[in-house]
Amino acid sequence: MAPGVKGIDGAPVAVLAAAGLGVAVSELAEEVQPTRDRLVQHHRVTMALLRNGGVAPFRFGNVFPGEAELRQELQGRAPELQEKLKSLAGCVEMAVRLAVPAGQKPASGTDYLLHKKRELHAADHLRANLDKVVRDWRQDMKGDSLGLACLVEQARIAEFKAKVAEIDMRAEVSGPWPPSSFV
Amino acid sequence: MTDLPDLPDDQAVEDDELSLVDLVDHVLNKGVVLAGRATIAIADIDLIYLGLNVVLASVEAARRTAGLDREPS
Repeated sequence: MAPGVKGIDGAPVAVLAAAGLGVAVSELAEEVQPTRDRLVQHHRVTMALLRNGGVAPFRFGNVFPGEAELRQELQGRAPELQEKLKSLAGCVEMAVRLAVPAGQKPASGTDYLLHKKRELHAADHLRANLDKVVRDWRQDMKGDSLGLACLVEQARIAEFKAKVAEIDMRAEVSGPWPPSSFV
Repeated sequence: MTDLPDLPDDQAVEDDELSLVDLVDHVLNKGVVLAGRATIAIADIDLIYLGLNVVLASVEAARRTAGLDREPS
């Protein structure tokens, strides 16, 4: 772990070797509830691991009573997690959100359905044209907005962004993110 | 050892520029669940998604009010 990367609440992060995997852990005095600061720190640690050569991101809040319990759980899941790491190697997640054109809030039920249809069509169009640049994708809904999570090779991030802009000027790209949509 | 181009400098994105919605989506809503019991029960994620922004904001507001907010040194 790169020096200076602190964990949640400033706790040191250690990398445990267990079941052929490396697992980043911190010791905490008590089970922690999510706060903005803690989510940010979880994200920072995961990004550091991503930079270090790849990561299967954990959801916030995986807590074990002790190292023995963690190792036991890992033992059972090791083959699956190793496969995951292999499939994610060298890749990041890029998020694409389809922007609603300004002033086009649907005024009626019919309008809304038409809007949804246009949105799905835009998503289909994006996916079809991004096919060569992405390794994998997931479509998702965040609240009322449609988006794509794309698994992109680290070396092709710039190419991906350019391709999205070329296909749909209104689409918003964010990333790189750790590939949590693909675990 | 892989030979990858550097990721854009993560620290260039300030902590307070990371949107809460994005953080919740990537860190709280997705990712491997190894422990039998994660902090937020998975089945409740969709239900609390909208409420969580309020909860997180409330926790931080409460800490500030109680003078518990630790500034980084």
